[in-house]
Amino acid sequence: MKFEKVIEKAIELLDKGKSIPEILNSFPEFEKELKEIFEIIEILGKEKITPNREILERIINQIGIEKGVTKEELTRYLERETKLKGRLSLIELIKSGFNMAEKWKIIVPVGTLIVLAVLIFATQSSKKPTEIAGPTATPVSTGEIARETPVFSQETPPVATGNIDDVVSVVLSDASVEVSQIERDIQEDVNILGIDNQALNDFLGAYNENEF
Amino acid sequence: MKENNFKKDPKLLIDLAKNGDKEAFGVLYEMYFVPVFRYLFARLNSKTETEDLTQEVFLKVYQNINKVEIKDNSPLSYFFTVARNLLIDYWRKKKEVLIEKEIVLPNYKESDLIEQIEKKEMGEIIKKLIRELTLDQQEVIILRFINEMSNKEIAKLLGKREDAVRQLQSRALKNLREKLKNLKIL
Repeated sequence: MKFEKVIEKAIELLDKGKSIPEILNSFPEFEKELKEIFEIIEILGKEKITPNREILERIINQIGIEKGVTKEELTRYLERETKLKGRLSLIELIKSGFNMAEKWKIIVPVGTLIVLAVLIFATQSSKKPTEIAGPTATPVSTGEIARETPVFSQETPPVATGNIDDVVSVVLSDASVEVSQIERDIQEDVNILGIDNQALNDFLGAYNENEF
Repeated sequence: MKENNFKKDPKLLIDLAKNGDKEAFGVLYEMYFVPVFRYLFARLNSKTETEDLTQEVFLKVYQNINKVEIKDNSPLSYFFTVARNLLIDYWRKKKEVLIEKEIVLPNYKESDLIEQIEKKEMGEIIKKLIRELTLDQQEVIILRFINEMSNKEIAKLLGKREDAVRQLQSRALKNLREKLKNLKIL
């Protein structure tokens, strides 16, 4: 007979009120093993627990009116809940990923990537500095007018000292910048006029009325 | 609840509790605290957690007391069903706890190991070893030998046939014995 079956029979006899020595005598070939099994059963039944009145009071207090929870118990409960919820969120997230339908397994990551790409693009374009066209060397061909883009000196603004002399000198320096700018503009106009005259002369020299 | 002769009638106690009789609920508590506590304690092995979960069991029973249908005059199976569901829920939330820790035995010399390990320590080791069994075996062993339920009651509670319960318990005992042998405790 298999040992499992012997245990089954032995417990059946025990339920029927047979004593352990009687049962052991019924299975002499498994006496040692059965003794050990009965020892395990005896130890398992040793747990002595009495109803805890404190827990009952807590339950009664919680029924109907939500009070009567000790501070210690509340802290313990909150800690446990926080701990469990903290562990849960990531696990649940991963689990929900595994439980997704096939189409969502594609749609969700692709959608996420698109949203991310749009966000990155939007962020980058808003950060891009406005480019100020600096002086560019434009190739000048014959007859073409090279216009130089006016460059304003980027002087550091004077520090406000509150001194009247400093204020006057700042005003004068601003005026001199303006004057020099006007002079430059006039000179440019004169140059343009010169070039225009030259071009007109060239044209008149080349034009022969009799040809037509 | 005023009449003491009703005190042992669980069906009446449930009915009284349904009508808001807290004393009746207290009597139910005294009747079912030990089996519920034992059942949970053998699965959790932490007094604090067991107390918290036992409390939840009784609160849940009370909250749903109007839906409780007591068949054959015993609400025990209802209490166990609530306890089982709460336990499953608890473990689901706390999955990593299920990763069994290696059993660390006291540093005894092998020769006088059996003499030095007291029954209480052995009880603790057995309880840890129970958690290495299959879930079915664990339940049957706890309900049968810790909660002292009959095979018939266990079969009904777990929705199994009685012979299946008997088979599970003898297999569980055999496995426990082997595990104790491997640890040189038996």
